[in-house]
Amino acid sequence: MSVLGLLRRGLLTLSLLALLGAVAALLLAPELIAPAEDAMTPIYDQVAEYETDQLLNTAVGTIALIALIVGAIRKLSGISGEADPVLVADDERLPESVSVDPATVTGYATNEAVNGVESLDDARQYRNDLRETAVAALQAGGESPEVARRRIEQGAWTDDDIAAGFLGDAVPVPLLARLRGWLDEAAEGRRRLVRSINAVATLATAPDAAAQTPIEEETDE
Amino acid sequence: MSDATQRSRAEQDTTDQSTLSQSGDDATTTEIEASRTAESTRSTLTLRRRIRRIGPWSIWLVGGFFLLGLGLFYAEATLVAAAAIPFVYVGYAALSTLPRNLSIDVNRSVDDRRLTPGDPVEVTVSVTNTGDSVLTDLRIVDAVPEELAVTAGSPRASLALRPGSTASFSYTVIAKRGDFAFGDARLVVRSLLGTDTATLSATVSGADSVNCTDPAALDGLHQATKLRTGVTQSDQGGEGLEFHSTREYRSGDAQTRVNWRQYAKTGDLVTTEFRQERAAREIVLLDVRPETRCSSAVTHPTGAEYAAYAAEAAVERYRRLGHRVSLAALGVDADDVEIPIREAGNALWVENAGTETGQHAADAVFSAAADVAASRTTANTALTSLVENESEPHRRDISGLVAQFPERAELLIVSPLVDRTPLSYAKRAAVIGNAPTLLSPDPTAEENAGGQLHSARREIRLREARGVCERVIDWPAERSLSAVAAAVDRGGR
Repeated sequence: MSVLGLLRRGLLTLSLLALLGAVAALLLAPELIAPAEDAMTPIYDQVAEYETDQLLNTAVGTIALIALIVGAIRKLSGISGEADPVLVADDERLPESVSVDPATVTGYATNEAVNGVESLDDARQYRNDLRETAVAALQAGGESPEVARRRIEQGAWTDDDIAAGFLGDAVPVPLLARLRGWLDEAAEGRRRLVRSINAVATLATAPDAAAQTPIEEETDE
Repeated sequence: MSDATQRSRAEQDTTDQSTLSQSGDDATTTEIEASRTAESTRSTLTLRRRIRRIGPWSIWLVGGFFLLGLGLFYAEATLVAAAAIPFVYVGYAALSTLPRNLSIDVNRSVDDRRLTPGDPVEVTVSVTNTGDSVLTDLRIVDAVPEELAVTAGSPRASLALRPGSTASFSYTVIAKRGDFAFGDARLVVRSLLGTDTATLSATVSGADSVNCTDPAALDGLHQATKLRTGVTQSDQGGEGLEFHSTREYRSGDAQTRVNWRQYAKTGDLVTTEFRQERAAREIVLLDVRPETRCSSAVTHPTGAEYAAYAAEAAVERYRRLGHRVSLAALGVDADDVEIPIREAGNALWVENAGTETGQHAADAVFSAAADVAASRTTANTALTSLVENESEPHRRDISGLVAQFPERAELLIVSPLVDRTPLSYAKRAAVIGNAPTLLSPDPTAEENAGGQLHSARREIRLREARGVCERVIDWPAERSLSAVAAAVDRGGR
């Protein structure tokens, strides 16, 4: 830092300290600045000779003048109101953002379909898709399509009561789930779909385990 | 606060950096001299904007004079004392300024290992205060390439640095194919009171890009196809019939290959290496059809991008080994390839990529495939079913391509397996004796119901593929290609 800069900072610091000292004296120990008060007395006497209105006008005028000068200096030096500095402006790209359409992520359409379910009937129209996937999973595990279909019909492919009841016509949906469906159809529809998808996903990873559960033979009527 | 003061000046020798600064400012009011130095240890700082909240000519001054005048007028000591508050405020703000010679070194380092698409790359940025005054509040944000997504950590930091001290922060991005350059870091430096603030941009030393361009450098994928004995002999030691060399025994070596005679003589366990024999003819079938151009997460490359990279790496590898490798590409339009390429079925066909013309053609196909693989396919939400309709390919298309396959050649199918089409090709190839191997990058994630369902359907197809193919290599989304290649090289899945 240059000598001039140091000098400037030093003077500024000293005058600030002096100012604080004077204020402290004024408030806490007025007797200390009695000499200054005495020196002011002739000025006060002189001021007292003027009329109050005249004096007030002068004071207001002086302050207005100072305000004008400050304002003019600010204007001339190109000072204007500025917002906080920001690292990344609102109209700029965030450095950690990705410019990728979420619709290009696998399963986006399925999620949209599940979220768009508004009634139990809406949910039921997707049952066949899930049944087909479950049948394909069981087939991959070595079961014949007929047996796999019957297994899903009877719900003997998963531990999940809701999924079993939702995809299998021969199995009832648990009472609690039916009650929930009566209270809030949309939420229960989505819930049954998601639970069924979970169950199908589990089945796809281990179809052999599901095939161990015995199923009832089809009875000819 | 409406009395914010701005004095800024762009460095004279920088171009286009002055957009944020007000031109016509009195240059003498700028106190910061951004250090421009030839020393490599310092970043070049460019002042973009400087804001001084409380300038020497603040409105607070008027307030101070007003209180002072009022206090004197009424001879009221409290009012006179109160006038000190704005004066002290302005005075202290004038003292709290940024150092004249800001000097900061920003250095960036990137994992220097070889990158493949999908690899997490750790980027570490270290900031050193090379000046002689304390920086009480330094905020920095690194310019991450737009194409790369940050998956962990943050490219932003807020630091306080003593002279000479260094602080660092790191974040992780996911590599994509290509060379992606970082930009200059952006900094905001504030004085202790926050009354003097400068926005700067800084050049960053060290790594300036994430480079993931060369599939040829990837080793190991050629081991994916089954080694068939009696076709050709390579110079590498391994399993086979003809003696190649001996080496020290390593755990895991087959007992039949231990030289027991020498063990009886000297007590040393030595393994005999035979000249490795493997199929000399390979076909790489790359699948980048529009269905495959989706990813497991917004941050990750598409399944097609992984497949294109892996296929190119495999072809390069086979070619270097002197094999006769042919290339078939599904989903690349002949019009997108720079040079005319033969079509077979609905695929592009490059016979023997080992020759000069073949190599040229294969490179053109791979370049086009990399481009189309990166153009993502948007899901069709207008469907009335949970899963996309799976259309089987025409028998004519399959026979058209499979008819081109050389006899006894082994087929490596590189496909994300988003539908059964690759399986149709595998089945047909298996029938006519081209033993198929499947390498399948996983474009699904089990984060939500949609991902789970697609993952389950892919799992079912993989099971089916295991019945058709000689070998099925499932490549999970969280594993990098180099790790998969290494696993393939070791003979695992």
